[in-house]
Amino acid sequence: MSTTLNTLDLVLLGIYLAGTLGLGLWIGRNIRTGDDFFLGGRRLPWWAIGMSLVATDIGGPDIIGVGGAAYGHGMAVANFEWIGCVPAMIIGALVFIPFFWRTGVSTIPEYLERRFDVRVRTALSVCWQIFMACNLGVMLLASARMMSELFGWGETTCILATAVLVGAYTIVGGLAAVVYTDMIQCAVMIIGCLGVLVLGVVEVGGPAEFWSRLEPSQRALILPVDTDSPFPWTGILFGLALILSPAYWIGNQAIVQRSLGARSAFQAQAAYIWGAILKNLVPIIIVGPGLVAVLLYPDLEQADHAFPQLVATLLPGGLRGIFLAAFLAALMSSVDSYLNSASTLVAHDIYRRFMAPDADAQAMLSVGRRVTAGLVLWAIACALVMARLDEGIYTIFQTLMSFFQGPALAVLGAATLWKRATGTGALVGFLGGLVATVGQFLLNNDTICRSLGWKPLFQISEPFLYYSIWGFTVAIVLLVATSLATPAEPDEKTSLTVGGTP
Amino acid sequence: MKTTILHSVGDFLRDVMAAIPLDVVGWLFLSLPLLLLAWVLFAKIAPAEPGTSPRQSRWLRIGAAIALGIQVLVYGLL
Repeated sequence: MSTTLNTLDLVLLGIYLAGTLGLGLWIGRNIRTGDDFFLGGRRLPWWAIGMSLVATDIGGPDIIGVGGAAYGHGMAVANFEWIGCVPAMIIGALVFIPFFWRTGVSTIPEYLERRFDVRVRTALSVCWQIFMACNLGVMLLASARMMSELFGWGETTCILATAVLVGAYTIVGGLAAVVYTDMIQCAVMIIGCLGVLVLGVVEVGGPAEFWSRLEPSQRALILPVDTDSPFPWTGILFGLALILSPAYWIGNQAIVQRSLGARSAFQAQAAYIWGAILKNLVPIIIVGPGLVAVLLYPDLEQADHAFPQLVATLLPGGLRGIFLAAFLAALMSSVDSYLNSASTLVAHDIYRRFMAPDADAQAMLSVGRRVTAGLVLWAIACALVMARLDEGIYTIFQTLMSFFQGPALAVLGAATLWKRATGTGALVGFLGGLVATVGQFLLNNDTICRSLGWKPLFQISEPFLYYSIWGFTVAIVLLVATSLATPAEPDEKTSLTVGGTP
Repeated sequence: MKTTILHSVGDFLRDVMAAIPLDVVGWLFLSLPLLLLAWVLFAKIAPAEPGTSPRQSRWLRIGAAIALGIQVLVYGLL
């Protein structure tokens, strides 16, 4: 299903791409030190960070995938952007983010070393680095596949073009370039998707007609435990809202890093709150079109064709170019953020921590840029290799990589809120939680279950929300038990809890 | 197909959760943003840093209340 672009579409697209690249490179002129590169010199304003948070969270594949999920499962998918984001962002804004900002750290693992020890820092940092490195390849490939399908361009061309474009401004401009280009990308994304929604609703016959023609099950935000979809309310409330979402908004380096680059703790808080307000809009503009497609094209063979079908049939010339720009904006804003954050983790948690403790600001800048360039090459290679493999392999790989989020939240929560938590307790809890989530995944795998003659552990498809619940639970139980069995940490470490004086 | 103790625990929890009426679940979903909204509006929240002015703190509360208020509307109406 490819979409034809006319001259106006291509011109608009060209202007957008040139503008993004130009802005990123222009910002890069002022980058002089590692602190400038990794944290924007701690001079970033709240309004830009807030929009960047939203843009980073919505990738190109998300626009297509969430629209497709809405086509298949209805409104319930909107929970991922509503209860699955907003409450955690507000708690983050008022409790955790100003605390992290005041500690003056560059990475979350760096905080964990100051609170616990180097073992905890390294374990979490390595997990995040592996996740981000693999995710970069996954994001590039998934986006390239969709671009290829949407616009008929070659898959390899899409991978290379995206990587070179995003890599160029991220290498030169660092976090500041990422945040300011994200801000533009957020605006373009909202305008593009809103355009699709408005034209779609008009085509259906107006908002009232649109809403009344949806089935009750398609309008339902809350689905029963025995639903066929991967979104039963138990997984949404306990797995998403209470575990995955806080783990993401409070512990994900790619998200937290931009708030560490804010001008003040107040600005870091304001950024999260501004992002939370904007987040309320996101389901309307990306879930809404999926529901419009249910009414206009009820017989699509694949749910993921919902958004592209709307673009191909509803949008006139010119608007298609804006939508493509929005799609690319969503893709680029996620890739650039993960590139910058992965390089920050490598530079601070590996290079400076173990290889060059005395590295000066210039050396850190140089390392940051070289690592980012290396990650671009890695992501291209990863995407090209995965393109030759069965699609299921990288999906499973991505799922495996996301297993540590529950255990990571247990460690971060205990570190910040419980003075009696110890380094050994945190390490045992984290590793135990990881074993628990991987174990659940294996015991739910069809092939393994058949060979053992066992029934799969879970009854819904893709039970990743449940993995996080049990991973978190096992981690917190082990963490508490081990902490109480080991000597308490000294005062200078326990003072690094919320309410203490970092 | 054999089952294990893990299956039994899972089935028990699943049955318990399935017995909760969806209307009650709807209130559970609504209660999360409602409780947070009450916390934002009425609880004493420590200033981000010593120099934070009362006006800045007030703006943060208003912003947070708007974000959570929209959530209350969403989960109350849909």
